[in-house]
Amino acid sequence: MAKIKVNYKKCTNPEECLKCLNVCPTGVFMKAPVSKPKSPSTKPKAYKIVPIYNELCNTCGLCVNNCPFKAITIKM
Amino acid sequence: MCDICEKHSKNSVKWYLDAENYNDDLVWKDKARYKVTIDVTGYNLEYYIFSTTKKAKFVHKLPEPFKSILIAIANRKAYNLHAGQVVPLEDALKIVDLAHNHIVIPCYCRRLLGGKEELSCLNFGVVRDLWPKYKPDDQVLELTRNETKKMLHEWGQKGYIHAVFWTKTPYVMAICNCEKKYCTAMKNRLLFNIRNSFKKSHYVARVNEELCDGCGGKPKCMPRCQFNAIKYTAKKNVVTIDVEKCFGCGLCREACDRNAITLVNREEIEIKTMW
Repeated sequence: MAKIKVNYKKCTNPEECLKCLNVCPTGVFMKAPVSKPKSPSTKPKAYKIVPIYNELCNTCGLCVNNCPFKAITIKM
Repeated sequence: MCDICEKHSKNSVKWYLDAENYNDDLVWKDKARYKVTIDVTGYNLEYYIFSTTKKAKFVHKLPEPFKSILIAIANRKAYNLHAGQVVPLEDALKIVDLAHNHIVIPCYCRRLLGGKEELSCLNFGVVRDLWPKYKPDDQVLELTRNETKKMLHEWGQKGYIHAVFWTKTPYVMAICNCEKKYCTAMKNRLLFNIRNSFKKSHYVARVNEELCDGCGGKPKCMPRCQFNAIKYTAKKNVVTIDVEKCFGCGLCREACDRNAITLVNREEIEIKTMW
């Protein structure tokens, strides 16, 4: 199983960039809220990109190449 | 028999065809169900999707016997949360007839997993009031019954699987139109074994081998199946469907020019498959 790492110091715009989500052919990444919102009508404070379904990664490398911040690394 | 029907359906109809399961009082008069409803209609939804997936993944990595025990608990819990069962188009149309307050909201799985905005999540009942209240920024479509049916046909043609979602069984809240790439409920079943997050339908597809001509070597039904249940044998020049893998969504049937695929009742087949 491939190990995907997102460097959160480099990934600075997870809310709008979403390049990795768009290019991934199997849907590995999730734009996840970092904490539960205080009430149902308030937006989550912040998001982060989590490679939650890394079981599905076919190591095509599209996310690594398309990330504008070079924040993603894949290890076999 | 389907275990939800056993518990929640009178007059021996399928649980989602029982008119009593569309009553909004089920939400207002049940505290636990009200809480889940708020969780999935408010901004908590994104956290709800993330946390359930994270838990499923964590449980799947545990050693035995903890894994089996916790998966069994998660499966039982799924009935009290927001999860669904695949339905073929004809049943989805019946659900539209029984339901009220049809509203189409953006699909949050597609948003969180694909960064895509697509109005493809059909909701009923209390959602029409709650969604705009909590998320006034989201684009929504309020539809009539006929418009809703037309959209269901369109989604089917695009290859989306219809799945009826409960919010604590048996309240019928939504019909999701899912794709394997984005649907978290489907992924949590296929990858992490949480069966009840995406139950199989009441049907399985069957091929009439006399009618099937293999489409000249490139069966049109095969790319429609999202579960890899259809196999083509060149020797006989027919397709076969693996009943263990088939979810009974009926999408393959619509691609067949020769009407060689029909849906049969899952309870009638000889091999007992997991729902």
